[in-house]
Amino acid sequence: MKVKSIHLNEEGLNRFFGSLEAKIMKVLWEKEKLTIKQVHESLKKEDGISLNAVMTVMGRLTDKGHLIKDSSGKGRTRLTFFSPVQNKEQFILEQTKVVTDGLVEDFGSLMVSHLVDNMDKADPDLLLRLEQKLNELKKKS
Amino acid sequence: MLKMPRQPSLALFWIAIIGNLVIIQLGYNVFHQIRDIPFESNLFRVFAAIFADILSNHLLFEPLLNGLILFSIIMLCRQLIQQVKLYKKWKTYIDSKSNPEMTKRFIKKFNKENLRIEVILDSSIIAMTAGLIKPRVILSSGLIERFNDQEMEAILFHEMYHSKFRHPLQLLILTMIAESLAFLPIMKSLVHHYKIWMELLADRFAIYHMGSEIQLAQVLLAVLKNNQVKSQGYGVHFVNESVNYRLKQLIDPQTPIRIPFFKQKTLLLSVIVLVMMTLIFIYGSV
Repeated sequence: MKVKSIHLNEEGLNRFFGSLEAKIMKVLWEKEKLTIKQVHESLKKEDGISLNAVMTVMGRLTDKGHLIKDSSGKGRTRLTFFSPVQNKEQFILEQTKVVTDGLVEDFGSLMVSHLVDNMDKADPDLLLRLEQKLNELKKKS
Repeated sequence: MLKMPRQPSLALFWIAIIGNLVIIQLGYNVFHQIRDIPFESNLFRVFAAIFADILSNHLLFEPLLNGLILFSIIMLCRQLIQQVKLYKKWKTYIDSKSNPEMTKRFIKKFNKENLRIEVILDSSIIAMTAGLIKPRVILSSGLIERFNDQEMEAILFHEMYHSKFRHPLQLLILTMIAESLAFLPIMKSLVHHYKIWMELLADRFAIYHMGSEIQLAQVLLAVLKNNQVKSQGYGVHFVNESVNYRLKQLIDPQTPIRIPFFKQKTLLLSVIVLVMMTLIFIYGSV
C-alpha cells in the first residue's frame, strides 16, 4: 500500500504518517493484532490520548489500506481486531521505492542510482531463478 | 582493475562522434549565418537585421536548422537551470539528515577512509552515489540496520565504483547531450545503454572484490522481492532496464551480457534526421 503524501524532511515514520498514526502503527507492528481499546491502553500511558482519537485514526488507517479489520463474536461479545496489512519491513521497503524514486526524480542526474533502479520493472522469472540459485548455494555450504 | 567491455566503450564512442559532429556543425551554421549580419546600434536593429538576413540571403530550409539550434540551446539551458535548482534541494535534504557521528563510526568500521561516505538518518533503504566534482556515497541508517556487514561491503564496493569513475558527472554530461539533441533519438538510446553498463560494471567490481556474487545477490533479492510481490500479479516480459541485466549477471556471472544498443525504428528515424540535416548543410547555403 503506497502512502499518498510523503513529507521528505520528516524523520522516520513521521514521513509517511501523522504523529498519532505513526504511534498506532508502531504498536500494531509490535503486537500484530489488537482491538482499539488495547491500542488505546498502550498509548495512553505515555501520551494521554483519548479513545475517540485512537478510534478515528485507526478507522482512517483502515480506509487508507494500512490496517485490516477482523471481527469475531456476536452481540455484546463482538470484538474487532485490527492488524497491519504489511509488517514494518515490508512497508519500509515499499516506501523506499517511492521515496527514492522521488529523490531520483527530484535530484535527477546528480544521483547516479539508488541501490536498485526501476524495481517495479524487475522480471519475476529472473528473481525466482536468483532465489533458487541462492537457496542451492546455501544448501551446499 | 576490471577492463571496460567493448559494448559500453562503443556506446561512448558513438555518443562522442555523433554528438560532437552535430553540435560542431550546428555551431558552425550559426556562425555562418551571423557573420554577415552588420553590427547595429541597438538590439532591435540587430534582430531586424537577423530576420532580414534569414529571409533574403538564405534558403528556406535554413530556418529549419535554426529551429533545431534554438531547440538545442533551450534544452541545454533548461537542463542547467534544473540541475542547479535540484542540487540546492538535494543539498538541503542531505545536510538536514546527515549524521556525522554515525558516518565516523561507519567509516571506521568498514575501513573506507578513502571513500567519501555520508550516513543520513532515514528509515528508508537508501544507497546512492551523488555529487559531480567530489562524489560521495549516501547511505541511510535504515540500510545499515537492514543488511549485515558482508552485504554492506558489497553495497559499498558497488557505490565505490560509481564514485571512483565520477558516474554522476558522466551521466550529467551524457544526459545533457542526449536532451539537447533530442531530435536524434539514437542519442538517448545510446546513453540508456551506457547507463545500464554503469550498473553492471559496478556490480562486477563488487563481485570481484567480495570474491562472490552471493552478498550482492542477497541484497538485490531482499530489496526487489518485496516490491515484486506487491506490484506484479501476472507475468511480465523482460524489460530493457538495468535491474534485469543485473539479475542476469548475478544468476550467471560467467555468461557475457548482450544489451541492444537501440531499436531499428530509433536508428531509422535518426538516420533520416541526419540525412536531412546533411542535405540542408550541403545544398542549403547560398
